Amino acid sequence: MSSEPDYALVVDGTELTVRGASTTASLLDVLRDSLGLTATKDGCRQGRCGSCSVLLDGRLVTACTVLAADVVGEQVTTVAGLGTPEDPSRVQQAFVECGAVQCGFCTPGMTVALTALLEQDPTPDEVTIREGLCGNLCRCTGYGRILAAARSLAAPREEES
Amino acid sequence: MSVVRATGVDEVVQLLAAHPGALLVAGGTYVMVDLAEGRCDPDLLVTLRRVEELQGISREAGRVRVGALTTYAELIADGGPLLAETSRAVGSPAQRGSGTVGGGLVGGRAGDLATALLALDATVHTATVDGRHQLPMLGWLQDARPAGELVCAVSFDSGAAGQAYLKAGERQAVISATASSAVVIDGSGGVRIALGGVASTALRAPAAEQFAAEVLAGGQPLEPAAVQRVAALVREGIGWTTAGPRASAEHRRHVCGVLAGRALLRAAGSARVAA
Repeated sequence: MSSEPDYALVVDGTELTVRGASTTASLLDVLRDSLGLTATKDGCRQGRCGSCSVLLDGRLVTACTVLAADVVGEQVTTVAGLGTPEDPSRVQQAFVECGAVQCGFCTPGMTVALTALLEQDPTPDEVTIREGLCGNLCRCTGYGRILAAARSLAAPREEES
Repeated sequence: MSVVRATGVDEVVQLLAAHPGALLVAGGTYVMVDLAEGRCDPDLLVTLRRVEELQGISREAGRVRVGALTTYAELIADGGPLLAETSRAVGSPAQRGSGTVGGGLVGGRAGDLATALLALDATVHTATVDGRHQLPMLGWLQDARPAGELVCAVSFDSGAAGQAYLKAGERQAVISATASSAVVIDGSGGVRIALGGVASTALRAPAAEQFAAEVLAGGQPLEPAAVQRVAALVREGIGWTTAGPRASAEHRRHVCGVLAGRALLRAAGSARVAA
């Protein structure tokens, strides 16, 4: 298998060098295996489960269907780039507060997808929330708490944090 | 296996001619999955995202031209009413942001986009090393595609009076259609009914179209009996039908007829509202 020459990817605000990746590596392969960034999960490799969801220049994508060599120079945002335990994003905080995490495997992808949804529509109704998350599968929660977290963020805020 | 990030149509067709085993990559939602599952082994991947000529939606003199790199998300925003409605039925938000018109057509000849474009009587614009070509959607679907062909764009008239797209599947989202139907009522009262999911390519339904046009020409709202007749004509007019363990041929034909009838009702309704 042939390798690309080294190239740069900007991941969560940091420019990183990808060395020795296969020419046909997916962005998911590169994030997890070349760069050791394992926050993004590998569930199906078919672009259907959503566990590898990331933002590419702000656009929601499944990293497993993105050819890494074709996104050189683009900004990749993973769940780790949305916030930290000390300073979580609104979406991350809502997942914690609403008990929307069981095994946690779908959570990174769900968090990124919900972030993308709210960026596009800050006040989504129930149907819009469900449509927005229809590419993210969860085997544990039955989606109840995840939808509750989404609804809590869609409600108008009473006070600025 | 190597990757070339092409920047021009000529470059692409020359690469395809020189490398018969090459694959084109736009959004990657088909090719990357096939690669991961070992279903293909190309010697060359030619990526298209930097080919500017394939990008964008333009409108001129009553025609809409949609570049092959246009994503489903962009069609929802600016593809016109039928392509927007159709695109909302495709995949997940991530897939809609990546999947393109070119990939959708080449990868889904009975798919949502092919069906809607057939109802729009669209023209397909292609390129090979022999030059540029234009052909009607039905011809593009029915004829064997030449090796080394690049779909560059589709174009269609923008003057439809009414339109609708309906799709049925095993669940609400992220599905291939068990059956689907796109209906366009054009400005002069002509009706085009396209059927998706039920055969190896999208189909037209000429008998149902003729009956529907005659009924609508009377100027009255569609009666339930007329809608049922349309459904029956569609059902009877589908020849060979795809079948599977959870969707028999008979079931697909039945659902297709029902959807065509409903889509016609919706299209006629949207035509009356617009009038």
